[in-house]
Amino acid sequence: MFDGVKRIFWLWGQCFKSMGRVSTFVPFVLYALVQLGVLISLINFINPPFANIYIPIIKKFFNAAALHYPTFYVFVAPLFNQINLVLSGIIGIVLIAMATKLFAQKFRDEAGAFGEATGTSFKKYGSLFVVWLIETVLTLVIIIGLPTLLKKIFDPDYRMMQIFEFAGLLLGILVASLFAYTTALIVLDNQSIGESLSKTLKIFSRYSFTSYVIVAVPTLAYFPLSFILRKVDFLITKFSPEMITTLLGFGILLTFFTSYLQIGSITRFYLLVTERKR
Amino acid sequence: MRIQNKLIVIVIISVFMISLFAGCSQNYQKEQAMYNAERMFYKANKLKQNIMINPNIASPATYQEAELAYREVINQFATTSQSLPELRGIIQRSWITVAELYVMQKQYDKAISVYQEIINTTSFDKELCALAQYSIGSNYERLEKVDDAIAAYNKVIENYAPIIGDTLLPNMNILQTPIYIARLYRQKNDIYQAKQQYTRARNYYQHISQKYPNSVVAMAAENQIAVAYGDEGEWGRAVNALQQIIQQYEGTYDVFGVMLSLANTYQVQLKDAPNAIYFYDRLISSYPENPEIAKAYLGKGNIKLSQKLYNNARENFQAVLNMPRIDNNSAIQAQLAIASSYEMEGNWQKALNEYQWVINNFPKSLQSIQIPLYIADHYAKQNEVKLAQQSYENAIQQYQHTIDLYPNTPLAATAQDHMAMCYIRQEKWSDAIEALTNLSQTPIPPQSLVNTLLTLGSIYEEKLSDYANAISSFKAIITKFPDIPVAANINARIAKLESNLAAYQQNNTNPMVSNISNISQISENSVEIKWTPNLDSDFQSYQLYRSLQPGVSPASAQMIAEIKNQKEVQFLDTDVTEGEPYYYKVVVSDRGGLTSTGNEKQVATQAAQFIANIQLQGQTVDWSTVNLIWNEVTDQQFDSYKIYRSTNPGVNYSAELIKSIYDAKTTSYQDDNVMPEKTYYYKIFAANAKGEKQASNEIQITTTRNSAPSAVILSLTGNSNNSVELSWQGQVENDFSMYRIYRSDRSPVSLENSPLWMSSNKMVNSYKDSGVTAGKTYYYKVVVYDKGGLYTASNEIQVQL
Repeated sequence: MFDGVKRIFWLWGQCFKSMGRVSTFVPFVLYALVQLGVLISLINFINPPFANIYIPIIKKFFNAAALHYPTFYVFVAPLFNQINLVLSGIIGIVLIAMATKLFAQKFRDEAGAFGEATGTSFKKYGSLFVVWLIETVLTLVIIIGLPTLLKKIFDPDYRMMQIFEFAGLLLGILVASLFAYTTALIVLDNQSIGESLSKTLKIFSRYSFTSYVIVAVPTLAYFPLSFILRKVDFLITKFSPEMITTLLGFGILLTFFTSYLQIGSITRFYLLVTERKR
Repeated sequence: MRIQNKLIVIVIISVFMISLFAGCSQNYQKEQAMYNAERMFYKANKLKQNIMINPNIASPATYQEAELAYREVINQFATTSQSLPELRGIIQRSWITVAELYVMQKQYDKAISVYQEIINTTSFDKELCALAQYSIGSNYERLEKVDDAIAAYNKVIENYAPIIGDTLLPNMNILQTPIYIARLYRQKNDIYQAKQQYTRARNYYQHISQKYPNSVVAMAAENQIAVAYGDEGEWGRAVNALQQIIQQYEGTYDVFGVMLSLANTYQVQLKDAPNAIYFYDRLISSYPENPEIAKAYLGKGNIKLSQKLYNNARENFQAVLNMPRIDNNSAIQAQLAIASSYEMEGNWQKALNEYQWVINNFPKSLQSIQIPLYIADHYAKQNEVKLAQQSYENAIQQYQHTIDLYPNTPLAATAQDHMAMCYIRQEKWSDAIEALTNLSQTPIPPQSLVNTLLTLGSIYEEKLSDYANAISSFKAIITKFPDIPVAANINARIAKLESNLAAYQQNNTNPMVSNISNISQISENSVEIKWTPNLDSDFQSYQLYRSLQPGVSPASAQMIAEIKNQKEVQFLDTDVTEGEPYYYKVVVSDRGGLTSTGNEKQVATQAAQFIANIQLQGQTVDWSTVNLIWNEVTDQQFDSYKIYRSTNPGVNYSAELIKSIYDAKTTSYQDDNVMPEKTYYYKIFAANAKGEKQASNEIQITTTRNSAPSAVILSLTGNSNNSVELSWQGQVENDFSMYRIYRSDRSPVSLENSPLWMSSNKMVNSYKDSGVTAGKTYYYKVVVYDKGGLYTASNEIQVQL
């Protein structure tokens, strides 16, 4: 356990060291810019050309009241999160793959080859997408499905429901950490979907504590912000509807750093485990 | 990139672009206009909310900022709203709020201008214009411009029908306008015109009723006919009108309100208990779920109470309290009615319990505020002097509590008013004046302010013969409300008082002097001053002046108390500093404005005493150390602890000062500068900044005999041709001073030679000697020294290199 903790701090230390290579930031900057673009388009949903996309979506999938001010801001955070989820499947997985490749180049003391990283990531898009889909479905089932199921069984009070939801989140993180090394396996070691799934499970079973913590800590760093964003009514009445936008903007910044830490430490640990073996 | 991956990317981009531009043909102008208008309206409302926190203290700039925000909404979207009905609500509310902002600032003229602007610019919006025209009338009423108000209301009737748009729901403001006009004529005492207007109103309502037969608006119009009859005191006709409505509309529309009005009219105006009860019973059976059904039970209960059918009355009141959803006002009314029923029955104790229940459960209600005074008045009426006195005192306490809890609220104002009543009942005039003066300085309705100032003036005039203050109170009424109906009476009263005052002042002489007779209870922070009483009949107050310099005068000294009770001839001054000289003087004022100044007395407050109470304890640790401990000095004046030591008893300042400690929390000291087998005497002095000292008890401590330290055992750890490694073990004592290593090439090692090595670090227990020569034999010893100079040598070891 103590060795595990020491190892985790070492991994994070390695991430901080890798910040010296600017190219490792590029995928995260790109993703933050995409998220920022989505956020800006979202808060301008009523104006052309965004109205053409968002108004039909809001009318179809949300309450029509969301087209009114300030009610719209009640739906901004969930809408942003859902768009983010879709984006993570379209662009996110490519950028994570790029980041993994760039981190690996840094950790192996190889020259930074951005073009190679990009090319490899696009080449592996199919496999990455399938793995992402499996992981996302399983995670969503745990995070959303489990608390819903428990709610139906136990009819808990508000406090107990919060505990269920938090437990669901921790289990969701567990699922994510089971899949933690798939991207590295596919991108760095050219593994097939099946191989990447079986090997990531093997690494997890051997280093479960480290794997869980390096996935969980950056993920949980976002938890206080999610908690605040759930108090939409309070934020709107006490401050202003635009406060939600500010918080989501802060969330993008937070995601930038936590993702860097998460992908960096996963890649470093993957290299440590696999290259030691070789 | 593989071909299938390229395809995926192309498909995703295509889907996005199609989504983006597919809706280009869609027109979302309506949604955009609504959203943007809502956003601007929301921001404007936020500004208004800031004002609403306390409209009376909001700055004009804040009002202006809010008005500009609402006007911006109007400017941007008024035109769009003509083609977009959904926007009309926002525009209407923006316009109305702009006007209301002026009403909140009591700038009714400006509000009227805004309403006129609404009518001029939004003629297409009949509903908004009708409301604006009606509001012009109500603002003229606020300005007490009755004729202008009537003219404005007439325009409402002429220009707007009570039905606007396609709904059959009446606009009640427009519907009731004819009645308002008639009432304004009555207010002007123009009885003929008032009667004409009531007739005109009834014709108007008949017309409405016929125009929209069997509709809600027709029923409302017919109800107004009954109201018009009621206003004119034609109660018989009023009940006929109400009964006709019930006959015609019962079963089609909700006639609860009409039937309740009918029952109330029978009860209150016609004193027809059987008919009133009949309709109350019908209400109870037909509308048991109506939110206002409590009124029927209360009405019926009150009739039973007037008939002295107490149990029956209480059953009805209890029915109100048993309702699952009951408003506070009904609950209070029912509970008070139950209390009244017991009181009327002669069961005061039960009544008292019920009254107390209201106080406990609804402390913030205006009804509950009246109860303590009512209870005290009850005892006063019963000539229960002691109980009355006690109840008035309790009531005053409760009112003060309410004032403290809810300051600057109508509730606090009512409590202040009732507190004044308690003082008046007790004939405590100076307290009553203070309570009424406080009340007059709070924001209360005009009529309450007039009543307060009238009461205040009357007390000054009738109870205290204080003509100057009476005049001042009455003049305050005339200044604030020059047009009130009783202005002429008040002015006459002022004239009479001024004449009385002039006559009084001509004959008045300086008041009897009050001299300071005694100054007692002098302490560090208080002084009690007593003076001789003034016995004049026109006494107004004693003013006690204080100064740090002699020659006290009202111009240069501080007035520390004004006492209006002539019999109160002492004052405890607690606002003094220790050790200061003070000069006091009493000035007596009379109601004619003349004063007399008494003698001047000087007193010095006591200097604060420095208290230490130190208990010193001590013990020897060994022959070289004495530990001292004592308790902390908590006096704020603390400056330092001074520890004195002597070899003779009777330690004083001439003894040896061994330590000064400036932190009060440091309560121990180790004296390690002592000799063995010697007796020492210790004492601690706590000092303050002035140098005053408080001594502790004296303690005597004899140090122990010093004994030589224990020997250590020396051993050889290792050696080579050119070095020897030594180590030693043994007990290290408190009075350890140093280790010395002695080396010799013959045994025994002599301690008289210079030591090879020395260390005062007691933790060291090894040494490497590198100054040796191969082939030679060396002898070593380690010697332990203590602070007293005693030493012990270790075993000797031999090393052959």
